[in-house]
Amino acid sequence: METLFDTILLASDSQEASLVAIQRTCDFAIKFGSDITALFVVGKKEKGFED
Amino acid sequence: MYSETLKLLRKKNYSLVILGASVNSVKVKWGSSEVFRVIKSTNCPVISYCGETQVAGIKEILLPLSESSNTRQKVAYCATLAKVFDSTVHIYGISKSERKKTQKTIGSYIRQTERYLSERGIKYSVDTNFGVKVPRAIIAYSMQVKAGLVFAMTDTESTGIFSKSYAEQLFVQCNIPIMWVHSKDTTFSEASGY
Repeated sequence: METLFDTILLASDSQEASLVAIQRTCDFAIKFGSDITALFVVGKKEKGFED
Repeated sequence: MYSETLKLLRKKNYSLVILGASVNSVKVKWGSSEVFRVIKSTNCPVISYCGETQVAGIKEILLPLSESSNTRQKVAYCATLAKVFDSTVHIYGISKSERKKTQKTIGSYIRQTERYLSERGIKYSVDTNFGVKVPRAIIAYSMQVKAGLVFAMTDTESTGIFSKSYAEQLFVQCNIPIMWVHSKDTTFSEASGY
């Protein structure tokens, strides 16, 4: 399989969107054998990720 | 997020950017959305997921084609993803104009795309819609075909001097994941247009 997306940057600013974006990023990484760099930006008023 | 993402993009060349954005950073009343500025600033394709996006998989891909020649640059990326994820591509010829010339141009692009996809054994369907509001029609059709991914160009025309471009209107209004392709990015093009 030709590698088209060998380096993927995942950038997210919210929990709800992150879940879908992470899932899809993993799908792409598996299919294309990509390296992932993940960036999660949390605003000043947000608490960030909660367990 | 805009500045932090740009910092990373300056440090390294990425071949794909995936953005997960909250509703607040997508929908802005005045000016441009911060997330859309990130999309415009990159050199590689970007997939955007809005906060309200539902996980639908990529079994159905919507490929809108307009009368601009660079619209065909989406086809190579679309074909690659359709092949890898075994998806059906829904080719959708669309324009706000109903002119014969426009319909003929888009019809020609559709035939080229059909040939390109069929040569690679990719399932597809074809539909057209002319004389409509482009972003609204794309969103309605994406819901009709239950698309898990919509392809769009970042540099589309605007509806007026003070109006947002079709691309930004689509970005703000559409809850379905969108893969943004830059017209200058021809890394995987095999020929003119593709």
